[in-house]
Amino acid sequence: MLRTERLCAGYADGIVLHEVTLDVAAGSVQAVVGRNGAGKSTLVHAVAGLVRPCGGRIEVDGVQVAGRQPHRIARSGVGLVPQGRRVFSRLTVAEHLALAAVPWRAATPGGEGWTVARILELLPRLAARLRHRGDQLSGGEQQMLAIARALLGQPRVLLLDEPCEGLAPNLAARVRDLVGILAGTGLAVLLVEQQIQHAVEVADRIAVLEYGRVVYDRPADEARAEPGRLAAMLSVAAVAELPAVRPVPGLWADSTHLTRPPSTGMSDDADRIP
Amino acid sequence: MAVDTRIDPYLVPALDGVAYGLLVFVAAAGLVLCFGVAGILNLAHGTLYAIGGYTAAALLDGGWSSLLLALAVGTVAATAAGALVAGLLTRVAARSHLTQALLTFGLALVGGSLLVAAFGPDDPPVRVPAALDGSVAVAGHRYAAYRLVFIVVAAVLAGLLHVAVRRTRAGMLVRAAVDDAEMVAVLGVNPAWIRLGVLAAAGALAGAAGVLGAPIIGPGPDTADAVLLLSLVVVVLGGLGSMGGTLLAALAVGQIQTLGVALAPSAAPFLLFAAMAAVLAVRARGLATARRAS
Repeated sequence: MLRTERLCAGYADGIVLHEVTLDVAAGSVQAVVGRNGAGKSTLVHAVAGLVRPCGGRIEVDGVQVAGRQPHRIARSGVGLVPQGRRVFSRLTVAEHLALAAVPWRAATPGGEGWTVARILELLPRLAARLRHRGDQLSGGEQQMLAIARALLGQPRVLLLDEPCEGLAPNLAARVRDLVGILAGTGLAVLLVEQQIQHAVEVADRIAVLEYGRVVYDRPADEARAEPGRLAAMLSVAAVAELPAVRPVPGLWADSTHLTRPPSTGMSDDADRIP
Repeated sequence: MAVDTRIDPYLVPALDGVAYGLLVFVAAAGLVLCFGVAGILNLAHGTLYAIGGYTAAALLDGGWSSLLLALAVGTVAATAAGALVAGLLTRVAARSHLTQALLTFGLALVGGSLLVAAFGPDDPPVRVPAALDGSVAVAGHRYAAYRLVFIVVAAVLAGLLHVAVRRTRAGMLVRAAVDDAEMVAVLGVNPAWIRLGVLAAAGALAGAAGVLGAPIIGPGPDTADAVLLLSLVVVVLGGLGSMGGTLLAALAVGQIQTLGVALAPSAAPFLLFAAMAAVLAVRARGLATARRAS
């Protein structure tokens, strides 16, 4: 679905990504982890068109999109959930959803397409916040809104740039579950994370980016089996405590039918970041 | 009818201030959209108003039909000029404001010279519809009928602008782009079309203001500069991208320019800029600027 081949990208002061090759299949989660400055966000921005590649290819469904403008890449089926959420502070949740919903854009072939109703079924918390402006939402709610905004563009590829950043552990777990659910709908998910724990729990494949180069790219099962190697690459101590299996999404909704969960437990207080 | 003579000297200037302020609002709203949404400092904005003003002077003959014709022609001409500015700015849209300012300042000079060449170096007279070319009684005072009607029309225009910005998809796009134009692009919306639309709409507003406001701020060689200066003051005072702040600032400018001058005539030359400096000293980001989402 998404393929980067020997992708190079950077800024005026130098190249950040060096020949990055990744394959993200439909219905799978490719995690890319790395330390600060490794080039993770540059990778996401290059795929989304916000940073112009200086070499290599980016293919979405076999169509080369590298070098296109961001709006054209979005229309090619790429949705972005940026680092820091970047929701529109002056727009209400309802306006975000209305703006992002593009009924004339074709849904994923074979898929039923994302509608506002379906989004609110998946993320019922947003339904209770429809009249609230972006800057009046908690961090978790903003993250949900950023994901909803991206989904309503009917993407086939979803780019998630550190979606758990700044969230309380219970909210981060919900975001991870949501990522698994979305991959279950057939989306190709490129998940960029600094925290290896967030990536390992939900990914099908894990790559490590170091100084803009892919130095490790294995199925998640293999990565889980060699925590010491990941720890060495990322210089983290907690890798030894990585979960052995990917948890079954269950907190919010059934991953197949995306029905409303019996209880989300997302109270106002619980949802606020201290 | 008994009239409190203590407010006599100030009632008419205050009413004039409302008319003046609403005129400045309609003229400046486009500049706020340009700067707030497209990030473009369009120094040719005053020229767009002047196009409307000269159109009014050329077409108004004292009849209602000529007013409607002038409004249509002036608005369309200024819209086209706004779109032309957008087209010429395409290659420098991402550059610094200095580059944009130099280009649009050049366009303003060219536009001003063309208007003077076409209409002459003198301020042309503007005829309002005969039915409005008199005065009416307001709280025991005589007040120009055209200005009173203008207040109503400008208030309706401001209301329509508010509805367009708050209730339409285009308005949502504009507000979203004020916040984060890059995120609007990744939603699949071409930012160049937003820029074109905003600059054309800014031209339409300025052109309409120029036609309707010609009897208040009339066309002439200095009109473009005067309107641009007032609009810039309103942009600075109101805060970027805030229509509520723009309206507040425009009404304040109107009162300062009329009531303020009536109250303190000796301070007239610098009253407006003293007020601007005072507001900025207290609220550096303008009267009403929304905070970004953290």
